[in-house]
Amino acid sequence: MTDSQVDTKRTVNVVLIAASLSLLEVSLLAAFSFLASLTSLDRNFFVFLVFAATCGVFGLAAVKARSHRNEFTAGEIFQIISLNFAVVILLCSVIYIALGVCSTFDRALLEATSGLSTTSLTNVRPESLGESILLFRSLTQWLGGIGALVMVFVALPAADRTDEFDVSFAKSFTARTVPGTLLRLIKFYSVITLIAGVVFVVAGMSVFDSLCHALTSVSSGGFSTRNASIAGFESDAIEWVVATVMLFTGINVVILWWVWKRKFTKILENSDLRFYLILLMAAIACFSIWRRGIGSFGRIVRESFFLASSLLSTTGFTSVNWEFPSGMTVLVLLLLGVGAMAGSSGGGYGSARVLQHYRFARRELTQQYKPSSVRVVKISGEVIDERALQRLHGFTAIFLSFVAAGAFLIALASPRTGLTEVLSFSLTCLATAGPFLGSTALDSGIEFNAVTHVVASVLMVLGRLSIFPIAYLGVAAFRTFREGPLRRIGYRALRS
Amino acid sequence: MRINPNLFTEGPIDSPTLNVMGLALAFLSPGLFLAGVVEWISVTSHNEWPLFASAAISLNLGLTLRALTEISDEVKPLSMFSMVAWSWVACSFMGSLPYLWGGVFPWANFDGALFESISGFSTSGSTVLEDIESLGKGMLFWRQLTQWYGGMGMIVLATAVLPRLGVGGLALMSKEATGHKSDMFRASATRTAKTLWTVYFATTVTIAIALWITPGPTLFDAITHALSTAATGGFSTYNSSVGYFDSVAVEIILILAMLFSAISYTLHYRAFTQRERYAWFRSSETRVFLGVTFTAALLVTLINTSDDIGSFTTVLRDSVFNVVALATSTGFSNARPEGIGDFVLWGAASQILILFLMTVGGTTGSTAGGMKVLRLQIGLKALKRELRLFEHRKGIFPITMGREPVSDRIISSALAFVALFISFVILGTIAISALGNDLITSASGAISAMSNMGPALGDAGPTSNYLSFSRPARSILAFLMILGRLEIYAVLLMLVAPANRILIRK
Repeated sequence: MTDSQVDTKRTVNVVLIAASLSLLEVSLLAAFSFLASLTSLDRNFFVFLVFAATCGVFGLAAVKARSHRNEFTAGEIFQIISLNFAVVILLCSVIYIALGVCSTFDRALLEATSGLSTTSLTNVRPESLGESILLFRSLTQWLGGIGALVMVFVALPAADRTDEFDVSFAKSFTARTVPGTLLRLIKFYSVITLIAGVVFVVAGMSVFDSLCHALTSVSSGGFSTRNASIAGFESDAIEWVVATVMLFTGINVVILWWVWKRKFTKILENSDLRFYLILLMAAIACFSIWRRGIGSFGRIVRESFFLASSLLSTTGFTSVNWEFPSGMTVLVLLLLGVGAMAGSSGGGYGSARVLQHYRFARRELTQQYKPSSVRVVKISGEVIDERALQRLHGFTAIFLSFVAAGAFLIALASPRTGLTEVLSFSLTCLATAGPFLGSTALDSGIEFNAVTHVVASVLMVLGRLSIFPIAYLGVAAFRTFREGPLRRIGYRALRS
Repeated sequence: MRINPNLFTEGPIDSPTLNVMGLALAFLSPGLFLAGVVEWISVTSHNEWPLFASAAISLNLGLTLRALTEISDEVKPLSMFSMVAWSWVACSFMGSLPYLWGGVFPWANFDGALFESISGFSTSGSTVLEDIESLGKGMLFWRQLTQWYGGMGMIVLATAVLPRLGVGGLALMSKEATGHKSDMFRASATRTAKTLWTVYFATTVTIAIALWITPGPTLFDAITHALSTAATGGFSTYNSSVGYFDSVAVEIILILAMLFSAISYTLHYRAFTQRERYAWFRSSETRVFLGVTFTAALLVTLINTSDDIGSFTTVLRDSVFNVVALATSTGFSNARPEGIGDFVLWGAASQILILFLMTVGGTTGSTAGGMKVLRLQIGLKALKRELRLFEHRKGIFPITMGREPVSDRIISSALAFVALFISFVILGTIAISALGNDLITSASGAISAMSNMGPALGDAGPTSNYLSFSRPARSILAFLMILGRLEIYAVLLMLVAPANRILIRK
């Protein structure tokens, strides 16, 4: 076999694996929703049945067709994950159109991407949909949440890139084999979901609502079964409980794992967790000061707690209207941008990175004071590699430029919108949160046209799959293009 | 703590900070005197005595400090930081004295006068004066001169001091500095300053002549606007800034002058006196700066045309002028009733581009502010390397600027500067918005102050002034201006040095 034949075979294999994974995932989602639709035999029943069956059959066929080789390069692993993500989004959009939830493809794309990227941006009214569709929406978010964790705990270690993304903590979670880790992750994640569901039932939700909300809150998603999100329940107990679950959603899974394993000293030593909690407390304090006049102390703290943990974990549930005075606007955007801890299903810039930034800046200043000294940056007692610090700045630059570029494109698409709305919309998409400034339910300053939908979808995908693997894939794709088609054109031009 | 009883009888103390502060104060004296003369000749108002008296005070104070202290040949890095920062602060205080004395601001509004002076010396150009035209000619002249002095200080800072300290990756520049290579800081700084100030002076005179011979500006207008253009400051003697002249010719001259001033003075020196005709274009930083500015001007023109907010010629003229004014961190405005120069009214897409230009600023070694194009370039190259390292983990990809390799230490410090810059913008935004301004006004105000721009977006646009910020917010902005002007480190170390026990853990 020549090199090119080997390459082709590998590529086909990658595509087959990605296809089989996505088809089976969608088949499972459709199958669960099918079960929910058994209670009311309507159109959804058939749609889900057809999709579950077809996707299942084709998925199994693809599993048969792939070659059983278990070694992949780092690039191939990221290709599989991204392809998987893209195919699932496309299939889900098709399902939404088939269900009649969305009229046009770009609307369906937004809905599907929003689900898979655990954003709560939506252009449908949940209360007008059937139970099976609501369950399907929640399930997409759950899948998206576990996808994000798979990226950190399975894909990066498998690609031998744990040190590359400052996710060295992943080591204490991984099992001996890759499938072992995957199984452990799924089990652990399901248990957390189950606990959340039980707690919601105890707080007074119906079983179906608590199932849907457990799926979307554990994954930091934020899709709700009510139009007014959590505010629709009008229950203090539910707000307290949801806020608490969101708080845990934003915490690194490894730390939750340590709780399970009773390694409490390790948890106490963790400076990332401390920083996350300090940030949350500070946010609660600020919001409480702002809302000091609205009622009883309990209500003030509850609303502040809910808002802070919804923002910081980038879940996007809402219990109050999103209208803020000037000082709070900045705080809201800041919390939204900072986002959850690394290794959680939440998105955003990452509170751990903020801490690293602070330590790094302090190091640089003290370095100027005594230029000959050698100083290191430590987090949780571990020395951070210099290259990791440079990558941190790379990440910051890409993150900020994506926010700016997204805002720029959205501003071009809806020219009558103000700068604040555009920036907050772009940020909320990239952080995979959902609500944005100036949005009260479905009415907002942003014109939701095809371009906005597509830009928002792209931003959400970028925010969900962490930025570096995507940027790397982009560069690799460009290189293939330059060395493939472009060079051929160049040769032809030279010959003629 | 006991003070040495023979402190001054034993001869001068070795304090570079006080010595340089004295020098800077003595330098202000001729300017104040000149402004006094202008005030005396013009019959509009009679504030000459405050100006003359301030000249005498600054000369006296400066010479006394010089006499009492001495500066050794070898200056420690920390002393360099503190001498730069404290001189700037001392000049700002001195510069506010005539405003208070002459009744421009009442004594109770001391912070207003200080803001105006800081805005001048940091070449920002933001103002808290409601009616600029009500000032006397001499006072206006002094106001423009503060910017010119700020530019002078900036040239020394940017070409002699900061590269030597290696602040924020500027060690890269020290190799291609003026050609005066001396190990002694004092000697090299003095010679660099003298050489480049000649270029600076010549630039100012050229701009003034060019403005004078175009129909419209009087000699006074030409000189005062030349002073603030060469310093990329942006103070004007009119309430409506350059819009007062309403002349395309004046705007074209100013566009060229602003671009010229935002390019490194080292390059100007090499191009003019050392006959290196291509020095400008051989520097990749200059090429990138001009390219970015040109592209942004084109994009903004296109976006504004498609937004349909005016006739094409108006859109072209106002877009290009404002983009250049903001990219060079000058901050002149040509807002006229019939034009679209007030960029607060532009669409969100144009405003995002403007904010980007405001943050990046001009090139290193010039009087322009902002993060500087060089650091943007280093950042992009480091990013590209990261992506390549992702594929080839053990690979070694050196980063080069021009043909020189750039060390990891320089890259790291350049990135740290960018990180600090952004952090301070965010902190400033939080503080200002907590004091009552909306998000866009406070964020753009913080960016504008950090990059020594002048106008901001929102309520503090080109047709407005900084009175739309609350009084404490203005003090924060003034602090950010000094912070941005002295490239962050100097100010932080000036304040941090006493607290080293807290920050530096053994």
